[in-house]
Amino acid sequence: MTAVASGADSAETLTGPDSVRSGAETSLTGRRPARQMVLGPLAAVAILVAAPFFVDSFTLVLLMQVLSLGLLALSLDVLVGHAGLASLGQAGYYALGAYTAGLVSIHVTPNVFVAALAALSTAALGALLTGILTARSHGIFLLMLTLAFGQLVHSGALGWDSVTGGSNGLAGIPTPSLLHDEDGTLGHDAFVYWWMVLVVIATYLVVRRVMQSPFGAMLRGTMVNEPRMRSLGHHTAGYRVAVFGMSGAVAGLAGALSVWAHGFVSPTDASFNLSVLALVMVIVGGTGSLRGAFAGAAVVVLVQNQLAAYLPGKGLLMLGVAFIAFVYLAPEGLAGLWSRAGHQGRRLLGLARRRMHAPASGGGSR
Amino acid sequence: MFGWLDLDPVTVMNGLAMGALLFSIASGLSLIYGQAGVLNLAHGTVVMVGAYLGYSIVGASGTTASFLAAAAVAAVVGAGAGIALAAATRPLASRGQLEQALLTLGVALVGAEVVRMVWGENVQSVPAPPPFDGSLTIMGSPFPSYRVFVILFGVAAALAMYVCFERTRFGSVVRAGVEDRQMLAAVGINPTLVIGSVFAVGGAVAALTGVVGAPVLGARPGLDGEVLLLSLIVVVIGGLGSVKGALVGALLIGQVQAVGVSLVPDAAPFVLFTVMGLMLILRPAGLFGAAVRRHA
Repeated sequence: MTAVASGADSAETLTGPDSVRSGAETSLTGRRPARQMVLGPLAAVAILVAAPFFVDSFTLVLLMQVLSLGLLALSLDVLVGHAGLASLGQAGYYALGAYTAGLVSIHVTPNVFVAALAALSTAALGALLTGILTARSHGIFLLMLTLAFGQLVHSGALGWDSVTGGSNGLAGIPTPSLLHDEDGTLGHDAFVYWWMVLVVIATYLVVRRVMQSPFGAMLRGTMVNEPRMRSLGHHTAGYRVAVFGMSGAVAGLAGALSVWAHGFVSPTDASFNLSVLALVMVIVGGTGSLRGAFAGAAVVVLVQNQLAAYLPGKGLLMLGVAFIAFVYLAPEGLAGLWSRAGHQGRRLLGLARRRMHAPASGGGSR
Repeated sequence: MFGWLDLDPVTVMNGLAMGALLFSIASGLSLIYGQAGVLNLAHGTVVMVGAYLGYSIVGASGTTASFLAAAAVAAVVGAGAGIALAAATRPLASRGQLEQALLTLGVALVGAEVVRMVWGENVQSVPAPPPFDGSLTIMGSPFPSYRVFVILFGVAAALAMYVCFERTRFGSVVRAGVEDRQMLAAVGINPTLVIGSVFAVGGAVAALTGVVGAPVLGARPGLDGEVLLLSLIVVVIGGLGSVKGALVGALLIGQVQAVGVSLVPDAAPFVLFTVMGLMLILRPAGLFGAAVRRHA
């Protein structure tokens, strides 16, 4: 299963001959110096935070979409890229989170923390259930099981009109509030946006930390060779349940984000199409690369909205073709291509530096 | 709940018609998996293409001749699509079933977009061709005679499959391939050809069913997803790789859908997917499927 078997965040760890040759660029362990590792992401965050000041409100809504869909893709990437569990029902947990956040906001309190916690818990519960029930399923059978679960959520959302509003969806969700009472509402769009950026960054960091921990390593080991992991004494079924729970929680949070951004949730948020889209985002962005999830989401949102102006109707087609290409060409996705371009760039930079610093003596920078 | 027992004959007939369509679609899906190990998620897209071809060729006039022409064209196009899918998934055979399934998903995405670009996003209706464009009276209620034709089509398809699989050499080769693909190669039969043929036949039947089903289902965006989901439920319940299972599953699902749509519309999908989930957990092989084979 090589397309789903790449390691975590390969874009961030330089290993192999390249790192040694480019001398001044790397330390002995082959990792880039700390300052270089944070520079890129810091710049990205800075741009994100500054965005409301120089983009129009429509683009801001698009950015919010990228954030919530990106978090959804992140939740799926945890399953697909790190645990080797391909799921076609991720939208189910997303919708569970969205509906919970919406219902809590309407009936209990619009407080963001309460809504987020509720969304997270409901979705995690659903995902934990999935994890327990799918303990012995693999490959396409797991795919179909997760599909069934996602569709169950979808039919539940459609059928339970009294609670969910049925096919009309849940509208009239109050603006989220930061403080306990109504006074501290995140009224202005920018404040909702900044709150979303905060949630996304915090969640991403937590997920990345977990994936870089021994638990993440054991997950990847299970992905590569489960029987061997079991023979070594690891409780792989437990890992599976745990990773499902985590993935569900993140997806639920993504659903809550979507509710804060749009103020509306409907059964389409649990649809098979959204689950497929999530998978597309993960594979195009790069399975296993957590940042790739956001790259994939950005591409999808771009294709669905912006490109329509330039290439009428062809955007989704190109996305489908890109998806096919990435399935064939193995798991790199955009994040992998980006890191490869980065490697090449650094290699060339290293070569250029060596020529500059020690033109007469060879290998002086070593 | 007691509404379930109140089955009037029209609902049962509708269920049979639905079952007939589902059977011919799902049997192809089931066989493709049994033969090639590929869960063809683009199968619904082929059906949708057939439906749209039916719309284009039959048009507003709806003559019998145009209908037959549409059926023929659809069969050819479906076969071509099947062969293309077989060729597309072949390089991924060594990487496992999941990769192949994902590839067919990508093809389904692209296919749906192509359909949208060619035919637009409107829901198109296709008239029933004569002599089936009237209605019959069944126990006092009117019933479109075209749906009777659909039921007959399903019966014919089932008979054709039976004859093909139990009485022809090709059928025995296909059955052998489902049992043990490597043995087939060892005996000197080219498995690639067999896989290609099964894909082609499956695709042709799917597109043909799209044409036949068009007056009932309509040619519309989203048809691919709906058809795919229902077919997946059918093959999960019936068992991947088994035509008999597809028949039983299709009849069952057809009835549940018909009863559900007329009596308890909210419950039907819930029931269907719960049964699908339970089946996958408790008995992944389905009712009649071969034991679950572990591929790479």
